[in-house]
Amino acid sequence: MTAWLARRLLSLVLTLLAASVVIFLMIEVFPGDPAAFMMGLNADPAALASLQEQLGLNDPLLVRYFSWIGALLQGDFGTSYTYRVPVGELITQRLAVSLPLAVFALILSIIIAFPVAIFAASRAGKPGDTLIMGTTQIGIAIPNFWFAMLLVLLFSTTLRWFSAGGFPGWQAGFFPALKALILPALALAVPQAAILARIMRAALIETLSEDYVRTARAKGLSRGQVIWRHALRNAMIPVLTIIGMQFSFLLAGSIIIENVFFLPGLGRLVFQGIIQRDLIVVKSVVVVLVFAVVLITFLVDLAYVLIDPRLSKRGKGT
Amino acid sequence: MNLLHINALNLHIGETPILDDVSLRIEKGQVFGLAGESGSGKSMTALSVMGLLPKGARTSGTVLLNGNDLTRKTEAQLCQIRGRDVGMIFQEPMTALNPLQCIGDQVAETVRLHTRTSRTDAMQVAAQTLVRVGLPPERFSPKRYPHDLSGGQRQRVGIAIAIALKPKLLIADEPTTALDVTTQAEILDLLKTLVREEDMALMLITHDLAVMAQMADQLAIMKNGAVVESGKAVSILRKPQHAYSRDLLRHSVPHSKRKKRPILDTKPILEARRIVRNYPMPRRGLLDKPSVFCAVNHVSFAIHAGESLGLVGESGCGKSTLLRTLLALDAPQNGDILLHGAAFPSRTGKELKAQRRHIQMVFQDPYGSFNPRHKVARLVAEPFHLNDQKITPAQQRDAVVHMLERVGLHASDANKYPHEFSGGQRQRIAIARALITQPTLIALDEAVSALDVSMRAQILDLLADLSGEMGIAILFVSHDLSVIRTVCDRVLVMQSGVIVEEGKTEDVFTHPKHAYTKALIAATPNLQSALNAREDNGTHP
Repeated sequence: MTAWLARRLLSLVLTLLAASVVIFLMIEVFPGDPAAFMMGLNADPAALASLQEQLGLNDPLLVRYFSWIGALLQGDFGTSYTYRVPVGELITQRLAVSLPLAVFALILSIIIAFPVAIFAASRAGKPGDTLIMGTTQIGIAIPNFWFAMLLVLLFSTTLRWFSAGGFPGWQAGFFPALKALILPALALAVPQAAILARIMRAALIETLSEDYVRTARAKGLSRGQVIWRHALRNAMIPVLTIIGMQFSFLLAGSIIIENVFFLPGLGRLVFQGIIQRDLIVVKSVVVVLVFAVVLITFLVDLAYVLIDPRLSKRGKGT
Repeated sequence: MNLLHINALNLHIGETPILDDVSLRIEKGQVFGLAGESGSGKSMTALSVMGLLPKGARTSGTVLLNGNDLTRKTEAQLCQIRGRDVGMIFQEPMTALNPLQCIGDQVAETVRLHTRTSRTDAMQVAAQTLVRVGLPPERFSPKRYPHDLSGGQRQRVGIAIAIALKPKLLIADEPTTALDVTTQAEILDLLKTLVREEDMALMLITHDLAVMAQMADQLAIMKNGAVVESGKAVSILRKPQHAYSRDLLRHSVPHSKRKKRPILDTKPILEARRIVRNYPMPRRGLLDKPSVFCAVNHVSFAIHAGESLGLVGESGCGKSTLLRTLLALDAPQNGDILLHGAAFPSRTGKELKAQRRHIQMVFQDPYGSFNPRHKVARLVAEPFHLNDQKITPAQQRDAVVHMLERVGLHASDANKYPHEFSGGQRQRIAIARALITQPTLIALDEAVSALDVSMRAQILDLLADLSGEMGIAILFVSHDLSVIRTVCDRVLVMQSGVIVEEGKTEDVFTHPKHAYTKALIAATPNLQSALNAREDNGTHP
């Protein structure tokens, strides 16, 4: 197990290094001169030269790369060109919104998907199952921004239970902040829950036809007991993969929902960074997101091993 | 009163009749054998007793366990009976256990489900039961997971699950079919001991009449969902009354029309010289050198024209690895393979194609080796890409039809899909595909192991005809000694990657020299000697 962990950590570090090289090339090298890009077409040559100097663009590529990585390791992301504040600070503020939103949406998605999938799988082929699977099709088909607007129309405009957008900040108290996240989290969670429920239902149905399920039934377990005690854990492997991917998506891909609800999240930051050609912000947010995705993949791998004893054996050696 | 009394049981699944008026009586302490070919309704009879029939099943008739009609019980009542009064063991030990639960928990679950015991007490019962089935805690901790265990050990866990609560009736559905002969002998022994010592009744389902001859007190033979003959096992196996029982018995020992030939003193077709194939094992530490597992260890042999060579050994002995290397599907780390005197595989593409035409292959599971979306014509014509000259579609068509007729199928079968055929017919298609390039050698990997005995007899006859007429050499890989004995001129016995014995088939079988060969032959169930042994015991109790 320790050897396995050490190997996984090593590959984690190598993945991050490779990703940093790709990001560096994509943003700083291939498009040409970042300073010229940031200042636009009508830039004053003197200002351009000073920005080039300030960004260290006159140094050789390798020096630029390593000074960027060196600074990153010390937590220094550089200073935003448009906001004129350290990017690290900006990201921390935005993460305080995006991370809880993603976690909240993922929890909602799991809370909706698991019971639905178990219900449908235990009635596979019967009318209840067909109805639920039809509903999940709709859930997948609906664009989440449109669903978000429907939620706003119902809960904010008509019922006036929630405000239509904005975020009071965590300093306003835990519950007011959480309340502001409910509608966006729901808008994000419902389509994800539909996908998760379909995948989990399929995994459960496949597991229920396994030989060990028959063995369990021969012991005297009822159909329901078999699902809870044997099938569910065995069906978790594909489900975990999807949960990992969904969390990455929720963290990075909530730009539209953040715009609909005027939330100051990471998605909006990167969106504004792109519009304002602030490459320093864009580069840093991308690095943070890549780091998050790689970390989540690692955690999912770790969860596989906890669930399935066959996997840890591979690392242990025999 | 009988322990189990099945009376006039009929079963339909959807509109298909499955069981037709089945009646059986099983008494305490008795081994009741249920024999028949696949699809005869053996397993469905067992599942009717368990109340675990597939969806859409409708039954009539009664299944009385100690006088209680199981067909009238609710699902909740059946759940209480399963595992407590009736235990069941299944065929596939490799998949019959939950891979994510340790074996102790899986046995303890039966106990906790039916009795009000604490977790610790249930684990204690589980540990005792595991000892009972031959898995002592010092070697097989209840904390171990199924993937750590071999097939035979897993089947022991399956038995422990079934007998943890000492049920009155134990149902074993082909419990040893997936196991090696030596393991099979151990498991059968265990079942016998349990029946005798715990005074259980055992309903033993198997297609293998030699196993029946060893085990069963009473025997019923099923065909197409009906019992055609039942009575004392020894008398049925000695003097079967029904024509179908006689057929089954006749085919239970494989026969072959093939004449054994002397080994021709010609140049070998295929020659293996000191083949080595290693597999790396997982590393222990981050920087350790990976250790290796030697699957094939310096193996040398040769096959001559028209010869039939057998390769026997138990699962994991390296047979399949050796075969993959011989077919150049996998490169050996060391050693040479010569095909008609030239190195195989050749480095030039054109020569390699010609070489591949000379060696063809038939696998155990023909269904798995056919693309289900292709028609037979296309499947059989597949090896034509090995030809140097392109042939016209009409020529190709003719060749396919000719070959299908040659293996006993019809020209019209070319337009069907593989799923439209039975197992034996699919194996014929596989043979047609192998023969279409006019090879000099065919390798058959457990090619008749999945077939019923009557199908097996037909395929063996077909192979005998083909090798006789076309002079094709055959490499027959199998774990089944009786088949090897009938079809092969020479035999190689393989154990742990090494050929431990080699010689003419009759010499090896009548005077085995190596201890492993002796053990294999002794463990193989033999109908006649089993019957003789039982009659001796019967006359001298």
